[in-house]
Amino acid sequence: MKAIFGDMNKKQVILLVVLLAFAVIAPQIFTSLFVRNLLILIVIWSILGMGWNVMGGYCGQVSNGHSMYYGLGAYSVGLTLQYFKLSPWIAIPFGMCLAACFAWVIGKPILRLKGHAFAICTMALAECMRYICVNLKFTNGAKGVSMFNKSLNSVLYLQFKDSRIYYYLFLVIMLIVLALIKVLSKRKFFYYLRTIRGNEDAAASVGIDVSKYKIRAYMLSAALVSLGGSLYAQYMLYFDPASMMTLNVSMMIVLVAVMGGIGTVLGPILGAVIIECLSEYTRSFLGKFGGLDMVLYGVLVIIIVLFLPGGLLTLPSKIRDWRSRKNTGVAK
Amino acid sequence: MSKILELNAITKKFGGLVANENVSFDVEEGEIVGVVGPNGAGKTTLFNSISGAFLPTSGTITFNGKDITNLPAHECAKIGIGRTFQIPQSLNEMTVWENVIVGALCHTSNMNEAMHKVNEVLELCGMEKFRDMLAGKLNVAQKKRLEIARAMATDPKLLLLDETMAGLTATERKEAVDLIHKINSMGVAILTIEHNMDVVMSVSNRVVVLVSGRLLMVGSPQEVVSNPEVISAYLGGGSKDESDE
Repeated sequence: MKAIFGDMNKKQVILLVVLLAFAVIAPQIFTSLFVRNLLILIVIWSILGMGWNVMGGYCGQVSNGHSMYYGLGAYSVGLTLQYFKLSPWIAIPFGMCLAACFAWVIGKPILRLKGHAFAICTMALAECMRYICVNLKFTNGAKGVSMFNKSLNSVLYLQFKDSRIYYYLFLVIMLIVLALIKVLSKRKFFYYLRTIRGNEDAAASVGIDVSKYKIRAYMLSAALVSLGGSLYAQYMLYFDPASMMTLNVSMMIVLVAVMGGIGTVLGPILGAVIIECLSEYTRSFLGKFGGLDMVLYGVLVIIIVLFLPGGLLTLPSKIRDWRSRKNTGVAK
Repeated sequence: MSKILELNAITKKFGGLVANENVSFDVEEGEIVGVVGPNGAGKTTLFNSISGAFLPTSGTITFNGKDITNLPAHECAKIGIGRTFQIPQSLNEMTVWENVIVGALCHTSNMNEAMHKVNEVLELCGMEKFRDMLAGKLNVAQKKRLEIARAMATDPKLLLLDETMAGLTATERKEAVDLIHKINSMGVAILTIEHNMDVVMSVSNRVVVLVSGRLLMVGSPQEVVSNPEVISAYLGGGSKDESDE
């Protein structure tokens, strides 16, 4: 507990408790299917954002291909159910391990690339994975995987009629991930990742094995995104490569973290709340204007990148800065 | 006294460019050795070879009796070679405290132990008052000091200082010289690249002179400044008059 709350002041703890309480009662207040669906998506995207943030935020290696791990997570629960009737309780951790192994194997060569080259390479790999999944018989090709089962309301198979159960279960999982990230953020591992982001030469000069830590970050990042993919599949009970493994999904994962606050603990959650609300509401209100939702979306992203490069989490300190500058201006 | 660092015929080529050619000298335990030479003499290249950032083309480097010629940079840091960079490579988005703790985590995973070390080092370098400041907001002198602090946090036996005095005012320079003496008195051997001859004279036990990648001479500071070859290398030929000044 101390590791989680140790460095927060009273105000922050209270704010966190209030937000948590709101998250718990939210599905009781909002009874519409639309909002409940939105809440679940926010939780899933928070996990994806936090996962990406380990690699892209803390370690500074921007990956534009995390949709492949998202898809991998979904396929690992979908296909093990289809072929072996395996419970997602086993399939989800299995998928996470698989994603980490996969990240290790491809990370070895591609982590030698830096900056844009790495970003483009991950993008290309994710596209390759999508084509493979579309064309293999084993993965049901473009038809995708349906996990829908008549015996609904099964704890063993994580299928529930009431979407609130999904919500609470996913919320708990998200809080575990959040606690993990929060604890790690004060540990050697994350300090090393931030050093690598800051300067690789300086990192090596204080004894940090840069490639080893990059690989570890990539593995953890992949595993968390795979977890998010598994949960999404478990909730939707149907998925296909065209909806899960596109460049669009990869970029959304990046945006969630970047918009909220790159390299921060809570940033991805804030990003997920804003991006999911924005995309779901613009889609429902402006969807009939065909693409107008994406325009609004794009404009907002540009505004945030221009004025708040540190993400929305830095908004309060920006306002404080601006105010103090204004005050000193008056004093002169 | 035993030798902590021995360079044996180090040559480093970048394609056709020979940056270091056949450089051999050694550093004894607890000694301060100055490295001087005109711009482009290959001083920083030599540092990069010692600290593992580059692999030398030929020759061997021995540290504490162990061959470290092919050791990568992070391994060199682990066995006790600390270094600073000519252009400070501070982690600008991290605080001073965080910059130092990544050094202190070199030999331990225990945060409390590392924090203890950070306090020690910050006090040694006189940087406690900046501990929560972002490294990016420090001035050049403070950044250079932070470089030393970060390197010191890794508990080095040998510290490589790459122009830690360049761009400093006279007062700042004096503080830096004091710090070097303080670090040296803790038993850390120091190899320092320096342009300012006053500083070299006042801190070094011995001075190594490099010219166009070759070793010109090794000797006491007095021997070096009175050597006509050194003076001509620095001032460019026939410089009897200047040497009298």
